Amino acid sequence: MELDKIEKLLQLYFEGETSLEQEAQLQNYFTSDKVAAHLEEYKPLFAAFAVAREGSFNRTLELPEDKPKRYWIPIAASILLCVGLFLTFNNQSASEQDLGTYKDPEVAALKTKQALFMMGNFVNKSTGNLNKLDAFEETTKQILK
Amino acid sequence: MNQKEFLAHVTPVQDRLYRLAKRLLVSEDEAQDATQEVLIKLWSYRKKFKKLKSVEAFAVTITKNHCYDKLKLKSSSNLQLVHTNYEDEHYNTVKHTENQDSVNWVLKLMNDLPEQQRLILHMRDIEQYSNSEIAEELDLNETAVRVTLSRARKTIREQLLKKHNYGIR
Repeated sequence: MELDKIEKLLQLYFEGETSLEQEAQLQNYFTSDKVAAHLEEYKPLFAAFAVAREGSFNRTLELPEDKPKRYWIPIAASILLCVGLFLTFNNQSASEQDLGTYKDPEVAALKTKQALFMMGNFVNKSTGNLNKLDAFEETTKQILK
Repeated sequence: MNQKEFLAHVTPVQDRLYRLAKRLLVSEDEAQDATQEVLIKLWSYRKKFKKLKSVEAFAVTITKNHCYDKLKLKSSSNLQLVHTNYEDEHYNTVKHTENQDSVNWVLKLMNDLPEQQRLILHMRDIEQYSNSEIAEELDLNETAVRVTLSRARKTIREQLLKKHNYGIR
């Protein structure tokens, strides 16, 4: 390659104006044995690039194996939740409709009577115990008079 | 994407990532560590690979940011990342020819450049990315890349000639 061409390329090189191909030409020239004496000083520059291109990554790479994602877990959970909610609300509305009423008025009257009697009994039983309190009331009245 | 496919994507790039990390972190061990961490990071991003224009550009960006983080961490702790902390093993051995010596000198000069210049010079002259690729990866315009590149090359030339002519002029 002609010397003046190399000199021109070199000048362009330092201005950052050379293309990658032209830089490859320079690289070739300066790593060959035929470098002109006055350009000898640039040899180490291109030699250094060649050296720097050599390093390589030499570790064995251990990639963390990620666990298979179980997509069905959240889906199953939400389905279960929906079913559960559906069932409870369904039951509630069923119990709201069934209020325990009697269709036959006679039976209803009878049952009401029975219930009221039962209530009456309870009330009598508990008020009966309160009679004993009168005794206290009388004595306190006697003392306080 | 399984491991095999991932490795097919990553294997051609990993040496470049390593060299980039080494250019920024200087220490070989740290560069190996950084590359490993970057590759594992990439593995966790593998689902996005299809959407990317270039996996390599993405990997370079991650590596660059990772290294900058490491450097920041270093400078905020007491240990300053000065290049004298790390000894280039081939730099200190006594037996090498003058030629090898000046090659190492150039490598050292490169590592003494400001970060941005170092990064751009590395990407262009060592990894041979085009200016437009560099501009895209570093979020700069091409003119800025060219100017920085020229500045970096000139700095090295200046230092190199100074050394070359030492004792002559």
